[in-house]
Amino acid sequence: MSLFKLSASLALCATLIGVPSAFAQEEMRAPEGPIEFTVGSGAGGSPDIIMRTIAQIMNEEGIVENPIVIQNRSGGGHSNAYNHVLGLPGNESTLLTLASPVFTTPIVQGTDSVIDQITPIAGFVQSELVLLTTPDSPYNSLQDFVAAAKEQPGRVRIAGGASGGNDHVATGLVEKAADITLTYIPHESGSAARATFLGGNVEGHFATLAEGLEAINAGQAKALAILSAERRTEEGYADVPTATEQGVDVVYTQFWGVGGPPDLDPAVAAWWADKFEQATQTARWQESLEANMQLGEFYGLDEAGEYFAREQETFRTVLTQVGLAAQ
Amino acid sequence: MSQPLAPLAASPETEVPAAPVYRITALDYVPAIAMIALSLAIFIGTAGLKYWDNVTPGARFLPIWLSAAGGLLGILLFISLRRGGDGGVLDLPDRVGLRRAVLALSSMAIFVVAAPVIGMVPVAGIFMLFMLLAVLGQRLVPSLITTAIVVFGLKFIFAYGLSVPLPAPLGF
Amino acid sequence: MIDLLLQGFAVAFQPSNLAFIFLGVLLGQVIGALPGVGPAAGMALLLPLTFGLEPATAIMMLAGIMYGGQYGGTLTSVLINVPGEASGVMTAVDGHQMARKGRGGAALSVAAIGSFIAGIGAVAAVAFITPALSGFALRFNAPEYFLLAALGIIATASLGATPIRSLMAGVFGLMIALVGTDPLAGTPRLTFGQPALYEGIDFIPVAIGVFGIAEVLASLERAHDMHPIRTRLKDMWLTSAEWAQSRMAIVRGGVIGLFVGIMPGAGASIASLLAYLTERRFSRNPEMFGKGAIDGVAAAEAANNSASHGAMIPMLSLAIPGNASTAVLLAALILHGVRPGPMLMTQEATLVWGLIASMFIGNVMLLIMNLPMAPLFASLLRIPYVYLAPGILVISLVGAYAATLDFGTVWMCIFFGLLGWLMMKFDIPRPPLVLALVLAPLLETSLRQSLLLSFGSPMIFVERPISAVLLVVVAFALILPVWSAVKRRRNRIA
Repeated sequence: MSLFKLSASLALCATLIGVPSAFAQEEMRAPEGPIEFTVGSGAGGSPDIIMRTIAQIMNEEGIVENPIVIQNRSGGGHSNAYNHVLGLPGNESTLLTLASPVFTTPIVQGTDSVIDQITPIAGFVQSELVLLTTPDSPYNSLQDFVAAAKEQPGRVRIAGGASGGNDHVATGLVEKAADITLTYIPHESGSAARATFLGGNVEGHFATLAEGLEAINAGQAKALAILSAERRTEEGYADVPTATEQGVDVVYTQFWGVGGPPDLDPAVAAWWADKFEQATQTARWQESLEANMQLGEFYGLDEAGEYFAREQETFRTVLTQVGLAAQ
Repeated sequence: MSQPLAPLAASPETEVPAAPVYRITALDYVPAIAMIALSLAIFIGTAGLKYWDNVTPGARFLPIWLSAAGGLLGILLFISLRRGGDGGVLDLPDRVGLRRAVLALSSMAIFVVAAPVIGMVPVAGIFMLFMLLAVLGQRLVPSLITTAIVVFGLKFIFAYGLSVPLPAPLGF
Repeated sequence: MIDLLLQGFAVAFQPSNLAFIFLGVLLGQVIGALPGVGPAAGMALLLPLTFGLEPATAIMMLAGIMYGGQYGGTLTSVLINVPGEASGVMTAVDGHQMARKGRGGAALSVAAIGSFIAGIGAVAAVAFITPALSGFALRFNAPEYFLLAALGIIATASLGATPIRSLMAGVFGLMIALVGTDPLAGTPRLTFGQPALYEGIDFIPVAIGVFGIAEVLASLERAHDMHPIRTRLKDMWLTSAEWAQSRMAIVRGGVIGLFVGIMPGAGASIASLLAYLTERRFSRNPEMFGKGAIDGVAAAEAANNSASHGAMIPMLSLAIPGNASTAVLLAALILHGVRPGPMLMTQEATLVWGLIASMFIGNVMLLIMNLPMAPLFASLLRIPYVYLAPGILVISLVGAYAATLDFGTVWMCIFFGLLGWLMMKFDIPRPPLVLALVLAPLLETSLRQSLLLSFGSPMIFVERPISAVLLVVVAFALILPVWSAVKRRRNRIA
């Protein structure tokens, strides 16, 4: 049993037997009136789907009484969204969705870090990545892939979602760990990259586990490696080794969370952290995690702050390495 | 009349240029000069970006070619104007027209400045009344009715129907 | 397959599903008619309301908003010259000219009929040849998109009084598109340190400004001719001559729309542009194009509706959304616990076939709704223009705000209103600017992606079969006009 599953089931037991949650000792106060979850992606993006799912659970299971509205403030690599929230210090009715562009956009544009200004509330969902190759490709393992890239630097191509995106970071980490040069081809969106990959135009593509499994089952792709600490147990992935097992020391997961505006009352932040923890313990959320093959490791308040700060460092290192960070 | 490039679709017989009665003035040269200036600005503004990036065009590739194309088109237009016009016809407003256009534009600017302070729906109402009564000189009653329809339309379709959070600091 | 379709109809014809299909297309019609709020944004806004519904019902309703929006968008394009979406630009070009001549009703009718015929045809294609077409969709990639975009840009040269002025407008549109984060290198370009410009300049404020606001400004300045457009109710319908002129335009537009719609990178705006230009080649009176050609409206509307249906093919068979609306539809599937992907059509047969059946039904509903309403909407133009003008300005500004919830967009919209007005005054055509702005990212990104794919070799454009064919088409598009101009001049001299 993985550590995450252990902790999740312990947390579940805790709620079942009525033990108060980890935030019980903090002073808590509920915000009043309707709540806006600000999302920096358009409707249909991963952060949007995650926030809509959890908002639906919070309202329908009676965890949060305040009506929650998802507001897409897309554009500017999430900067429309985070600037909106940063401009509302102390506001108790707005939360910002934290996705990787909230971290990477300031690094790429050379503006002040967002994560250092907002009030951290929770990091509650992660998604692992799988490296796919075309079904008829000569590569059957990450080693083959790396060997090919070593032999002909830059001749192995990855179709990716966006310059500076999660899969660009993953590509950068693999390049560094294996000491190879890949050609990362950015697209307008993850799905545009998938079209390029499915059309057989490139050698590699990073996908989330759920997307990857669909393609593998349909015979459109084969998996080379999962960029996680340990293997997945599901059918279709059980025999896919991790990158680390294959000598490429990369563990990288996409993650999402929420933060409040700067100077949010700690009591309100604690209340939200508690509510997010409760919502992630519901059966519906667990089903959603399972269906989307996501992880549900939970970080609250200060713990979340440290977690976000760590991730920000990873982003900064990799973006500097691939030459995207502003000087 | 000299017409270096005829319209693609229309044959010269059907296209009747107004050239014989049309007098070219200094204003006719504005688009040509603006285009040349813009092309220069793009050329200068993208200095420092890469024209070619390893195997593929870089961030300055398209800007360079666009500056070249824009500059060339500007010069072509300039030359054809010197030689008697290219078939383009200016449509300059009279004083009343210019006043209305300028007033409408500045009212819109005030609309945007005032909307976050007073609220979008009330500002829309004030804007409507100002345009109808002061700028266009319409009668009071029809103006009030039109304003009411637009204001209620905004409130019901955008604010209630689609739940777009229109700014309403005063509560409405 | 017929069995599955019949099952689908059985699902779609359940009274509650019928009611939600109707609600969807009605909402789509309204949302499509609002400038700024396109079908994709409307679907996203209404998504939470579908959570209580069965997945199939919810998807049917949301899809109804998507194609209903194509019908609704016609209204504003024709009546007030504000295309609600990029795909409405070509409709506005001739449709609004028709409205000014009192033929607004005819323009709306032909748009509704054209959309209907092309929509039904495209749904039939979705139903019967999705597997074959999805393979075709994947054979399109960067090189093909580059040539397609180049073709579109070259074609904009013919959209104005003189080629120089049209090309200037097109180049200007491409220059506007340069602003923002470079799509491949990720570095800022011409942003002048303004964070608001990092994402580039969006199509919506430009279209609302350059078309809608500029149009109002130009009309306002003419104090003397601001009387309403005189129309009698009997002029509102399509005449049999107009119908004869539009029939084949609808068929050609529908087929072009379907094929372009299937390609995940292309979309309805390129579809309607290509259909419009094709139609001008076929039309018996090409000189009417740009001045109120009914076959131009028919082709553009048929193409954008069949393209928006065609986008369902890669969405259903590969989970690849071809446009913003299908992206929301995919999200809706996931939120309703249905995992989209290559297995969707077999694993969720009831849902998929119910959806396909619902699109047949929804298109019929939209036709029934739009045909009798066309004269009614067209008679809105009998209201004196002075009363319409400030209202159009207000709705344009609020629409621009609703698109991003940011006042920067509204400023942008006013700026482009001023610019569009100046363009009208100086006789620079506006459609090439807007179309070039839409095509520019595709043009630039796909050229660079192509050369990344080929490690710098331009041979990639010749080696791929579809690309090679397109290259020949592009070459012809470049050479033909020059050649015919030279020939004309020689005739004149002789």
